[in-house]
Parts: sequence; C-alpha cells; structure tokens
Amino acid sequence: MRGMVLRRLLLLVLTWLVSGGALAELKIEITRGQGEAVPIAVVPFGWTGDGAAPYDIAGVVANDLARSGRFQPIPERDMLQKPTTGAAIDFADWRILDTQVIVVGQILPVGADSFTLEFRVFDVFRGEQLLGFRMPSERDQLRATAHRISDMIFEKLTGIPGVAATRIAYVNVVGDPRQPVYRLVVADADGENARVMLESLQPIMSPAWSPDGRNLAYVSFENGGSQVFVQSLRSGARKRVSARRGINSAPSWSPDGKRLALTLSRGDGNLDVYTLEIATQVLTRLTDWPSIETEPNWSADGEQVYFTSDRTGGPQIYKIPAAGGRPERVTFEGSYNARPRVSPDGKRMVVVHNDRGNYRIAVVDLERAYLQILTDGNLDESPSFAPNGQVIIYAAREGARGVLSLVSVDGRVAQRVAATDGEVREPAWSPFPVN
Amino acid sequence: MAAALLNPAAPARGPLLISVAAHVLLLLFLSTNFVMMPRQAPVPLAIQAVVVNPEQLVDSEAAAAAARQAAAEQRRREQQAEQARREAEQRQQAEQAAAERRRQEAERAATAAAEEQRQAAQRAAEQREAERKAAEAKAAREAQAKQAAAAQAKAEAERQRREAEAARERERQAAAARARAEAEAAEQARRQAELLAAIEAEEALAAAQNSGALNEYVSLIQQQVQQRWVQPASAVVGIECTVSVRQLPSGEVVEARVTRCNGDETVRRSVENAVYAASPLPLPRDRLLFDRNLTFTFKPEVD
Amino acid sequence: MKQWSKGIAFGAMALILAGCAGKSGTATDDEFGSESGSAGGALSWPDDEGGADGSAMPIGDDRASVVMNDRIVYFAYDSAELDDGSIEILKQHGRYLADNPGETVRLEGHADERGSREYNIGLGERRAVAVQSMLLIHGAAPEQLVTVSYGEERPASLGTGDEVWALNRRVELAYAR
Repeated sequence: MRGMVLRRLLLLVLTWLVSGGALAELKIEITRGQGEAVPIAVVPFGWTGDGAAPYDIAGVVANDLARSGRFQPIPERDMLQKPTTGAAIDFADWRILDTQVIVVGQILPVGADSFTLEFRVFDVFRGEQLLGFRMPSERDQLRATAHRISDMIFEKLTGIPGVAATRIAYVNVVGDPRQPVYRLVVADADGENARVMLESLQPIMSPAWSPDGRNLAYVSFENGGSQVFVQSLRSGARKRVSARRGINSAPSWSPDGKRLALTLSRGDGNLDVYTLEIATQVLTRLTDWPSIETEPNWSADGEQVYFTSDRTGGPQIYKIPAAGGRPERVTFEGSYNARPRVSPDGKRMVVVHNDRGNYRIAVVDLERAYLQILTDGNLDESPSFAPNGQVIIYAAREGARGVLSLVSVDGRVAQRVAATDGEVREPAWSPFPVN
Repeated sequence: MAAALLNPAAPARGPLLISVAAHVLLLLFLSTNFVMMPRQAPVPLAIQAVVVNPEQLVDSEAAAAAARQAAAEQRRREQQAEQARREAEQRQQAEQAAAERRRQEAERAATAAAEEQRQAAQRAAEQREAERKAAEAKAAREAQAKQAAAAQAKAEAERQRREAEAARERERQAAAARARAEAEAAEQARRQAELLAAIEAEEALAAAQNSGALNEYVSLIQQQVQQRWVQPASAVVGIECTVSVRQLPSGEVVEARVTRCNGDETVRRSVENAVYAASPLPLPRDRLLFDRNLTFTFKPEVD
Repeated sequence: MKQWSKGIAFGAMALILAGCAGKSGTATDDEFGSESGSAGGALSWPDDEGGADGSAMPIGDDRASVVMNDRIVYFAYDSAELDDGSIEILKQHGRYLADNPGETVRLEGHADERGSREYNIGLGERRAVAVQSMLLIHGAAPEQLVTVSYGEERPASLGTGDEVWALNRRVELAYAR
C-alpha cells in the first residue's frame, strides 16, 4: 500500500516535470516585424499582338508597389521564368528566390488603340490565387490602368487602399536662382505625368487640395503680397478668394469643401487664424492672440482646426473648435513643433519638429500624445499624408536642392521621389479620386 | 354492437307474434277478395238458355197446346228462373252483404291491426331505442373496461421493457468500466514506462538547457523569423496569433498554420509567410534540442 | 510735385531708389551691393539744410548715405528684436520719411530657410512690423509704410549654413515712388 502511494507521487512529479520541460513543443515569441518589405515578383505582362508591347504595365506596377515601402519587387533579370498565366507558374522556382507573391498578366489587343488587360496574383508558399481581374483600357489610359492594378494588388495584400492612382501637387522652382520661376505643378503620385497649373516670377506657396480633389487653393505673391487663390484643375480657371490687407496665407479646406481656414494679418502685423466661407466671403475669426497663429489644418471630421502658435515663445501646435471656442495646446515635446497635418483617420498628426537643431518630420499620436521622429534630414518640411494615412510625403534638402521624399507613418521605410528639374517644395497629396 | 342489437330479448317476443299474425291476416283478406270475383259469372249463362228454337213453332195445335203448355212451362220456367234469379239475387245480395260485412270487418281488423302494428312498431322502436341505449352504455362500459385493461397491459409491458433495458445498461456500463479500468491500467503502465524513459531524456535535456544551448536555439529561430516578418499595418498592439509549424530535420518548414489569431486575413498571411520565408530554420547545436513541431506566438509590442 | 518742392537734393537719390525698387522686390543682395556702390561714387550731394558755399568741398551727408546704403536690417534666429545698429539705421530712414512725406516704403520681411514656410511668413511679418514701429517712432507716417512678408521664399543669400541664414533673416526697405 505504501509503495503504491509513493509510486503515484513519483508519477505526478514526473508528469509535471515533463510537461514543464522542453519535450513539449518549442514556443517562440515574436514581438515585432523587422522585415521591411515583402519580396514580390511582377513578371512582365505578355503581349499577344504584333510588335512591341504597347506599355510596360509590370514596370509601373512594380514601381508603385516599391514606392509603398511594403513590397520589394525582384529585378526582372533574376526571374528564372516569365509566366504570363497562372497555369505557367512553377512555384518552386519562385520559392528559391524567396518570392512570396507573384503577379502575372497579359495585354490582349482589342482594337488599334484598345486593349484588354488581365492579371493574377498568387501566394507562392501556398500556390493559391489571391486575386484575378480582366479590364479594358484605351492606349492613353494604360498608365492609369496600371496604377489601378497596383492599388488593387496593394489593397488585397495589405488590407489598405492603395494610393498609386492619386496625385500630388507641389511647388517647383526653376531657372536662374537669382531670378527664379515659380511653378505650381500637379503630377501622378509617382511623380510622372506632371502638369504646370501656374507659372509666376513671384513666389507661390502652400497648395491645398479641395476634399473632392477638383480644386487647389494656394498662395501667390503675383500682386506684390500674399493672396489666396482657388484654381480648378480641370478648366484651369482661378479665383482670388482672399486679398485682404497684409498677409493672406496658409489655406486649408474644410471637409465639406465650403470653407477655407486661413491666416490673415489684417494689416496690423498680427497673424491670426480665420475661416472664410468661399461662396459668401463671410469671414470668422478663430484666434485672437498677439502672437503668430498660422498654418491651420482642418481635422477630417470637421470639428477642430489645428494650428501653429508661438504664444509661449517657440511654435507649438494647438487646436480650436472650428465653430469657435477655447484653444487647447496639443504638443509639448521639444521647443519647435509647427505646421500640423492631421491624418485622414484623425488619430495622428505630422509636424515639423526641431530635433537638436535639425528640422525633421515627426508624427504625433493624438490619442496617446506621443511624438515620434520619422526622418533624419536637417531641413525637412511640409509633410503631407497620403489619403490612406500610411505614407507621408515631405520636402527635404539634398545638397542645396529641395527634393521630395516619402516616409511610412511608422518611420520604417523612407524613399526619395524621382528627381525633377530645379527645386521641389511643399508637396500636397491629393484625396482619393472622387467618381 | 350490431350483434348486440340483433339479439332479441325475451320481452320482445309477444308483440312480434302479434305483428306476424296481423300481417298474415291482412294477406289472407286481400287474397280472398281477389279469388271471389269470378264466382258472379254463371248468371248470364242461365238467360241464354231461354232463346226460342224456331223448329218448335211449326206445330199449331199441339203447338198451341204445346204453346200454352209451353207458355205455362215458360211461365213456370220464367217463374222458376225469376225465382232462381231472385234467389240468386238474394243470395248474391246476402253474399254481397256478407262480403261487405267481411270487408268491413276485415277493414276494421286491418285498421285495428295496422294501429296495433303501428303501436307495436312504436313500442318496438321505443324498445329498440332503449335496448340500443342500454347496449351502447353496456358497450361503452365494456370498451372502457377493455381500454383500462389494455393500458394496464401496456404499462406492464413497458415496465418490463425498461427493467430489461436498465439491466442491459447496467451490464454495459459495468463492461465499459471494466474496459476503462483495464485501459487506464494499460495507459498507466505505458506512461510509467514512457516517463521512466523520459527521465533519461529529461536529464540529457536539462544538461543541454543548462548549457544555454536551448536559449540559443530559440533565439536563433526567433531572430530569423523576426527578420522575415513584414508587420502589416493591422498588426497592432493587442494582436496575438499562434502559428503551428512542422519542420523537417533539415530545418525546412513543411507547414505553417495559424491556429489562433485575432488579426485579419493580412495578419494571418503575414505571420505564416514570415515562417515560410525563414525556412530553412536554424538547427540547434545539440541535436537533442531539435523539435519537429514548433509553436510561434506573434504578439506585436509596437504598432 | 510736393516732393519736388521739399528738396532737390534728394531727387537723384530718390531716382536711384526708385530704379531699384522698380523691380518690385526682386532685388537681391548683389544688386544692392553693385547699385549702392556705384551710387556712392556718383552721389556727392549738398546737405538739404544748406550751408555749402562755392569754395567749399562738398561732402556727402552721412544720413543720406545711410538711407542710400543701409536699407537692410538683420535679426537673430527666431527673433524680431532690433539691435542698436539697426535702430540707428532706422532712425535715419524715419527722419528721411518724415522729411519726405511723398516717399513710401515697402518693408519686406524675410526669414531663413529653417522651419516651416508659413510660420516663417509670420516671422518675416513680425520683423517687418518691428521695423515699421521704429520708423513710426522716428517720424514716418503710417501711410508711407506698407509691410509684406516673404518668409523664406526670397533668400538674399543662396546656400545653407549659419552665415547664409544670418544674411537671410532680414527686413528690406524698398522705396517706391
């Protein structure tokens, strides 16, 4: 009897030992992803017509995906095979290349200038099709269609809407630096397809997209001082909406597109933030402090206007109800935080932050009041959120030149936008296209 | 029920006999009346016999005497005929009166009989209704009794069935318990043997673990997978995904499968792909530490 | 016409100033240097308060030369405070404007390239207003002055670094006619 009890006891202890020991499955905890980008293969699209393919669709798609920072397209020369249909893919070949996703497709001729594009996306590890579409496209729309394909792939793989089919506006300064020419430019999000909206010998500043993406508000000095204009992208027609005495500057659209928040000095040198109803020219003063109050930015829900104020000495970010009310300070970290831009979801804000003498882009978590520096330049400025809130475009200095750069909102991925002539500054990312 | 109704009771016998007698009488009366009709036919035959024979008229004297005689004879015959006729008439009248009497009597009798019969029929119907009711009541009583008996029998059968079943179930459970006990004993024995064998492995492992080799192995795998994990935007703090992984002795990942995950499709795919992308996984310095099955927990600490 | 009667001595100088400001604020540091340099050589004007006789060797008025040569005041980083040298220069301009009520001047405020552009518009404006106040103290009339801020949009000196930035944090006085 005593022997049995002892044996039982031993058994219990052993069971405990073994289950707590390493004979159970090894458990490994992963608390962060260090992988920067998913290796993806965008195989050149097949062309079944005569002559050369009408457009390098795969090239555009690969560039779009690379620019997002979340994908790393493998170079065409590394491809062991170039399938154009799902049936032709040998997944083992792609696993060797560590490719996780493969995109194949074809351009099929329909008429002289019309085509059908088809593409399929496969998960290499599982050999599963993730996405497949066929779509018509005219010759002059092939690039736009390629951007659409990029966005479809991006959204399927990340769960986030892509921004390849959106646009950017920026100020381009060209010519002799002592007698420069200022241009207001609108281009595709990849920097291609640039179109000059306005050219002037006087400075152009602060382009801002209307919420429907059809108009740009900006500041032009063409009449000797700063004045605010609104220009239609489609027709090019423009209207001067504020030419009051003193400064008229820093326009920001209300989410309903009916009002602008802007900065006026009314001739007494004191900059304050106002709202202006565009159609009626009804002006409402939002702030009334003797310090500089400027750079208003309307929150996506239309409730708040964020702005820069140096009432305490250095510039810091404040917010005030758009309907008027008591301003509230938002940033406290560091001596210099300026030019707020609130993310589309309203949870974050990007600012220009002085980091030990360097002007860098920082993102502020508005819920947790936590500031994170995203860039490492020394004269970074003018941050603007992509409409999906995932990427920020900003102006950086490359030598003496201003260039455009991208940084992911988590700061992990940074890229430079293809260089253009002259200096590029003040990028503004368009909203999603409105149909 | 029908049988019960057709079974006449003793008190019903009298009225039935009366009824039968009445019917026979009526039938007799009707048939008599019909048979008596041809008896009146002989009367015209007697008159036919009076027709003169023309040959007898030729003889005058004799004929006259004869005629007289004949006339007297005729008269006498006529008187006789008359008398016979009268008698016959009287007889007929008497007969008719008798017949009328009989008819009336029969009629009365028939009426009486009919009335009697009606009353009898009514009484019989009443009797039958009473009988039917009685029979019905009786039948109901009988049916009730029968039903009760049947229910009792059924209940009894059910009880017996249940008892039998319970007995079987007890038997089955007992058998199962025996089997379980046996299996448990076997399992215990097996486990004991296994555990005893495991002691050695445990000791070897403990030695390996103490040497730091296990920590090194785990962190090698951790690093390799971490470097391949492209954390999607939706993999935020609070997300936790467990991935079961099978690897070959070469470290090659055969399968990576999310078993529990509160993330979306993108997160699930990203964690599985991180393990696949890290294949082949690093191998431990000490082969003892190798495990074909690994469990990864992806639990982001930063968004 | 009024100005004409006020003093012929400033006529030529005003012409030069007008020529300079005629470019509507497009003047750069170098243009200033070259023009004021040549003006300095050509201009030997008698004092408008008189006192010069035929035999005397005329010397240039120091205030006139200040007004002609020193049309920029500079500022410290993120500051609109005027130092003593700037105050002295502005005193001369104030008196000149008081003496020449027909003159108007655009006060163009500038900032260095650091920080955000719109905030720098504010800084340029603040500097222009500081200059405006000083000119008013010294006799200028409000209607003679107009402020404008270019922020960092029109640097006087190209490039980057402390010296360049110091040259760009400024207010330019641009006389007009």
